[in-house]
Amino acid sequence: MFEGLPREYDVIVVGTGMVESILAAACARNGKTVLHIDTNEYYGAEWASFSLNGLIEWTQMQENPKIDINPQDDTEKILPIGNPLNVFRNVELKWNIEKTNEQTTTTENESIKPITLDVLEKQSRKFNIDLTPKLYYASGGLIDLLVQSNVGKYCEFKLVSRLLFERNGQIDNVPSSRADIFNSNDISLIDKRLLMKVIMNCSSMAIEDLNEEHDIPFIEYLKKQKLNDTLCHLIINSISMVDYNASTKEGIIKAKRYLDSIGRYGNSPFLYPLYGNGEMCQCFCRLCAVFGGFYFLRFPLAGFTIDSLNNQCTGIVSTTGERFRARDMVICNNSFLESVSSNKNVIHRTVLFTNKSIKSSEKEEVTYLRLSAQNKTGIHIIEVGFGPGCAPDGFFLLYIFQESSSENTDEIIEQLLRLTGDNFTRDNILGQLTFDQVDTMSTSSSSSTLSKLIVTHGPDGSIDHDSAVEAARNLFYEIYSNREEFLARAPDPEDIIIEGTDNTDETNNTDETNNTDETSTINTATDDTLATKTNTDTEAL
Amino acid sequence: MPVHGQVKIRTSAEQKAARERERAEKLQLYLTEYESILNNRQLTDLFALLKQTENTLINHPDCFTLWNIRREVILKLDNDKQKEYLQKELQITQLCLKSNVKSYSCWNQRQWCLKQLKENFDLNLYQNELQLCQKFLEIDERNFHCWAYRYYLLEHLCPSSSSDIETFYDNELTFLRSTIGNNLSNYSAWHYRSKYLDKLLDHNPIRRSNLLLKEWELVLNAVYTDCSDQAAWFYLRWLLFKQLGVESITETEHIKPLEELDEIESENKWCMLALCQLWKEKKINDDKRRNYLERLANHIDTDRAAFYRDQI
Repeated sequence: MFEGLPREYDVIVVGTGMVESILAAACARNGKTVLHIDTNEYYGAEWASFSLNGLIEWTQMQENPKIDINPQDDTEKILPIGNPLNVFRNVELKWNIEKTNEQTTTTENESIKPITLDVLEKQSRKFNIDLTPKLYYASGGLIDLLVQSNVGKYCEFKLVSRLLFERNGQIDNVPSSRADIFNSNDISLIDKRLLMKVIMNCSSMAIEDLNEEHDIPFIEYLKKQKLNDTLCHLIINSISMVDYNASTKEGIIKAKRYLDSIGRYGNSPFLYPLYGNGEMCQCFCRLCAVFGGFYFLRFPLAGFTIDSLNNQCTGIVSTTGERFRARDMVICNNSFLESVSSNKNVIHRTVLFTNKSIKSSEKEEVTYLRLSAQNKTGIHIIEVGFGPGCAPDGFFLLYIFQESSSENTDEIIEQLLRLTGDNFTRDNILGQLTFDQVDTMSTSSSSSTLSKLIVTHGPDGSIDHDSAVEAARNLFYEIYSNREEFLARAPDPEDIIIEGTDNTDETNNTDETNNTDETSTINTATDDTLATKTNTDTEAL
Repeated sequence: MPVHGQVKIRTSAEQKAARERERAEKLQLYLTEYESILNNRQLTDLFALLKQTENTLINHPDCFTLWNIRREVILKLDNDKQKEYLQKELQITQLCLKSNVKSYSCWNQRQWCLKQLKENFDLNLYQNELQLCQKFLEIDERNFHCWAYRYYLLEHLCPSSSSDIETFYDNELTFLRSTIGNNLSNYSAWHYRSKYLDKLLDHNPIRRSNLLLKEWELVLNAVYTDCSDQAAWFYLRWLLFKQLGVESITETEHIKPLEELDEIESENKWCMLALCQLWKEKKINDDKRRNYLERLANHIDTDRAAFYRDQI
C-alpha cells in the first residue's frame, strides 16, 4: 500500500480541513517536504462539500475500525487517534417527499407528479452541499490570501448578488451602496442623507480616529447620528453584522470591512465559490502538491509516534504498523484527538432542500439573509442554487446556522416562514438535514503537552473564514518564527526559466476574462487589473 | 520545485529588463511600418495599402494619419467596392476599439463610415450599432465617446411619425433613468437626459408640469443621496434656471428642501451656491446670501474665491 511513498518528511499534516490545508501549502511553498493525509476518502474534512449521494453516505457516519499498535521499542510511545467524525453529533436527515413514484397510478398530466427522492438522487452530482457554508468578504481575509498567494487561479466565484434583511414583517433588499439608497423608495430624503453620512463616516474612519466619543455602545452612537430605528437596525444587523450590545469600535470596524468590500468585484461585498466551500481546501492542497507535497486520502491511521525520552511527537503510524517520520513538526486537526468528545460548545447547522427561492427573482441569485434582534445572536441564512453549481436547475439549498447557538432550529424555520409568507411555504421544503458541529475554534486551545505536535481547529459559527486564516498564519509563524514568508506569491508561468531553454517561455497564462456582472463568474487571480475598475459608488463612499 | 526539474524564476529586475526589451522591439516595428506606409501612399495598389494600415492600426489605433490614408483610399474605390469596404471598416474599427475603447479616431471613423453609407440607410445596421454601444457602455458606462456616438445613431433612428416619436423619447428617458440608477455620477447620462427632456417638452408641451415635477423629485433625490456629486448639481441648476424658469420657482417646493439639506450639511459648497443663486433670483435673504458667498470665498472653496466674490 505504501510502495514508493517516502518514510521521512519535514512536516506531516493530518486532516485536510481549511487550516491544515493552508498550512500544508505554506510549508510546501517554502521548500519543506510535506506528507498530507486524511482518514476520509474526500478532501475538506469538516469543511467538505458533497454530492447528494455523498451527503447521504456521510450521514451514515462510517467509522474506521480501531486497531491498537504496539510500540516498537522502549523509547517509543503511541498516542492513538479518536474518531474524527465525533465532532459531528445528532446527525439527522429527513425527507418530506416520497422515495419513489412507481406505485402511483398514472395521471393524465405528467408534469404535476410530485417530486420524489429518486429523481433528486439521479441528479446527485449536480448538488454540492457544504458541511460548513461560508461567505467571503471581497477584501481582506481569505480572498486577499488567495490573491496574494496566486492560489486564486484555481478557483472561481460568484457574487452574493442579493443581501436581505427583515423589515416590517417581510424580507427586503439591504440598501448599502449609494446606488441602492438612491433607488430605494422606502427611505425619506432626509433619512437617505443621514444614512449616507454615517456610511461615509464609517468608510473613511481610521482606527486612530476612534476616541472617547466612541466608547458608547454602537446602537447609541447610531442614534446620536439621528438615524431612526429601522436604519439603526439595518446598520447593526446587515452592514456591521454585530450584536446589539456591540461597542462602537467593533461596529465601525466591521462596517468598514463590509463597505470596503463593495465594488471590488461588483455591487456586493461577498463572494461564494463555484461548486461550494469544499473547493477551497482542495485549492490549497493543489498548491501544496504543485510544490512537491504528497497526498494520501483514506489513510489507515492508527496514531502518533512519540519519543518518550523527551516527550516529542516524531510522526505517525498506520494500522499496519508502517511508521512515517516528521523532522520538524506534525500538524493535526484536533478532531483526531480523543479529548474533543468532551467538548460542550456546538454549532447547530441546518440544510434545507427546497424547490423555490425564499424570495422570487428574475435571475439566478446567491442570497444572504441575516436575522437578529435585541438580546439574540445573529442567524445566518444562505441560499444557493443552480447559479454557483450547487443544485440542479429549479432546486435550492438553504443553509441556516448561528454564531453561537441559542435558538432552536424549528423556531428559526418558523420565523423564516412567517417572513416569506405565501412566496415560500413549508411545502417548498423537500428535505432537512440537521447536525451539531463541535465548535473547536471558540474553546481555549488545549495545547497538547507534547512538543512538535501542532493542533489546529475546525470551523466556528461566523460567516467568514477570518479566524481560520488567522489561525493558520499564527501557527505558521509559531513553527517557523517569522524567518519565513507566509504563502508568498507563486510565480507566473512566463517568469519561469527552464534551464537549457531560451528566455521567453511559450506557455500561455490562462487567466480567464473578468466581468464584474453579477451573473458571471469571477476569477480572483487577475485582481490587479480588476482593482482599478472599482465602481465609482465606492469612490464617493 | 524539485518535481519539475531545474527551474529558475526571473527576478523583478530581470522582469523589468524583459519588458523594456519588448517595448523597444514594438516601437521599432511600428516606426518601420509607418515609414513604409507613407512611402506607399501615392502608389496605385490601394488594397495593399489598406492591408498595411490595418495591420499597424490594430496595434496602434490612435494614429490619425493612418486613418486619414484609409479614408482617402476608400473614397477612391468605385461604388460597390466602396460599400463593401465601408462595412469592413466597421469591423476593423471594432477590433481597434478593443485595445482602446476611448480612441477618438476609431469612433470618428465609425461615424464617418455611417455618414458615407447614408444613401443606403439600413435599419439593421443602425440597430446593430446601437447594440454595440450597449456593450461598450456595459464595459464603461461613462465612456463619453460611446454616448456621443449613441446620440448620433438615435438622431437617425428617430421615427418620423408624431405618435411614435413620443414613445421613442420616453423609452430613452427610461433607459437614462436606469443608467443614473446604477451610478449617480454618470455625467453623460444626466447630460443626454437634459437633451431628451428638451425634445420631449418641445414635442408635447402639455406634459410639461408633470414631467418637470418628476424631474425635480429625481434630482432632489440625487442631491440628497450624494450631496457632493457635481453631475446632479449641474442638472439641478439647468432644470431650475433653464427649464423651469425663475417665475415658476417657488419657495416651498424648490428653495425649502435645499435649505433643509443645507441645515444637515452645513459646509457643502454646492448646496450653498445653489441657494445663493436661488435667493438672488427670488430677491430674498440677501444678507444670508452675502454671508454664504463670503464664507465660500474665504474658507470653504478658496480656489474659486474670485468667482464667489463676483456674485455678491
